[in-house]
Amino acid sequence: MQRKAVWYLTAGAGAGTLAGFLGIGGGIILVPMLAGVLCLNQHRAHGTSLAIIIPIAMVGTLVYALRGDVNWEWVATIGAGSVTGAVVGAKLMMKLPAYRLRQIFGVYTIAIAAILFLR
Amino acid sequence: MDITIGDIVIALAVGLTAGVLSGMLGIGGGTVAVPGMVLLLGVEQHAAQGVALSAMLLTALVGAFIHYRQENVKLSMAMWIAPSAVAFSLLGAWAAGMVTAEWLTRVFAIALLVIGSRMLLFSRGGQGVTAS
Repeated sequence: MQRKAVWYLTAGAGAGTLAGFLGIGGGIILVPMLAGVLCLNQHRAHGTSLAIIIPIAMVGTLVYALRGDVNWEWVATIGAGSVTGAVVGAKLMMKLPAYRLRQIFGVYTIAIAAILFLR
Repeated sequence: MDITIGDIVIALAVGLTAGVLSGMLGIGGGTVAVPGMVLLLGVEQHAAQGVALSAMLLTALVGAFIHYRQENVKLSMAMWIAPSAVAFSLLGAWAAGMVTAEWLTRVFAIALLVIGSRMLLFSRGGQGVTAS
């Protein structure tokens, strides 16, 4: 139980810091932790990760909004797109093997990192 | 900043891509939404992260609800992880306000690099493939 509590704290701390500091969901830490370390199956890891992201994003939004870093017009457009996309994506999840998806995503993130550096 | 029709179309496309990926991989769309806004829409890094977090809130609400109805949310575990997640999110969000946009972009790029390399190296690992 004690060891589990340490993992809970670590998963929360990692995901929370990444989300608050960089605006990245934290799912990138939570899903492997929930699936790999805390032994949830993949679907439950996705669902539980999303549930944890709700309060993380709520607090993050609040702090950024208080600082004046949230433009609600962008939120409306990006949000509309991403909510639609999430529903589509959840259905597509079954169609493409996860490893292929991760390869595409891996190449994509490295390319974006390079562009951000070289800009 | 004035938002043109073209910007709205780009923003919708960025959001859509972020959402599809987040639905498929179970990750928040921030890795797509933030660079999308910074590179394609010229939004400042802090502002892009703020918008990404708010959009993420919407996506996570919808996604968690769908998963919850399929009984794929382990609430007892979420309850245990959430407190430290919230505390550190608060801390991180506050810390982001302390650094310049240039530095924040650099750290963001490094994080992407680490995440991407890890994804490639472990793409055939157990998670995801073993979905039951």
